[in-house]
Amino acid sequence: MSYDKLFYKDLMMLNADFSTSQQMFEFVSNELVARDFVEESFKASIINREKNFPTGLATEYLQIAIPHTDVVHVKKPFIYVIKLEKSLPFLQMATTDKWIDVNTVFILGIKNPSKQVGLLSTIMDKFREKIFIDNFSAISNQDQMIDFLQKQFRSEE
Amino acid sequence: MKKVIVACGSGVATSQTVASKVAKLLKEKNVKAEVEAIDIKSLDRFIKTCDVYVALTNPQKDYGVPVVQGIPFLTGMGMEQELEKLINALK
Repeated sequence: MSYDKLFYKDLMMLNADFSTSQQMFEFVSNELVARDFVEESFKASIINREKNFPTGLATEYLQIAIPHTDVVHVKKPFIYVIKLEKSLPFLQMATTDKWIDVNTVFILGIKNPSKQVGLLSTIMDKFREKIFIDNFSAISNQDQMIDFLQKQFRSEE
Repeated sequence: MKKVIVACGSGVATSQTVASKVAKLLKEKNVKAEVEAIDIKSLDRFIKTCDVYVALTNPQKDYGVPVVQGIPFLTGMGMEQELEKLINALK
């Protein structure tokens, strides 16, 4: 499937300012509930998931996090894009003590894992491309960002 | 056929992604193995049936099978090294 439709112009924060990741999760969850993308239970679930199974990833160019949680809490699939003004500490995936400073967060609203199995690898492939990172980092306008992401994630089939 | 399992917290995103990446890399290297993504909660059940465990969470204990780090297959950093470990463990 083509992943470009998972991005929404109003599901992104391009100069987000949070003092903790907890605060970020609370804010984003409230917004997602209000827009009917997730169940009320999403907030507690994603916070808890991140504690038990952290999702910080250090790539060559950027330190990112890809929080996600069980499908039952998601009503409609989405990707929520956050660029942080001040980086926030996230635990690196598969560790209990390695903190990394994350400045880019993609919250993945996965509803149908079998259809979205290529999603994460597509995202990771993009984050390994210098040109993608340069553009992604430079764009601070939501219209440009949605246009850029939809082009980048449109499937070539 | 040798069997590789990949486990993450829910079995929905990360383990599936790493499993398909690992399967593709093994195929390219002509290493025959079955690669399966599982939910961490079923690890105890599956670990007995596998030859290598690709871990996407911090291993809690010694499972008695070779363990390979899964994160490099996501980020690409240090991937060749882990792939070599995986292939050696499958020999």
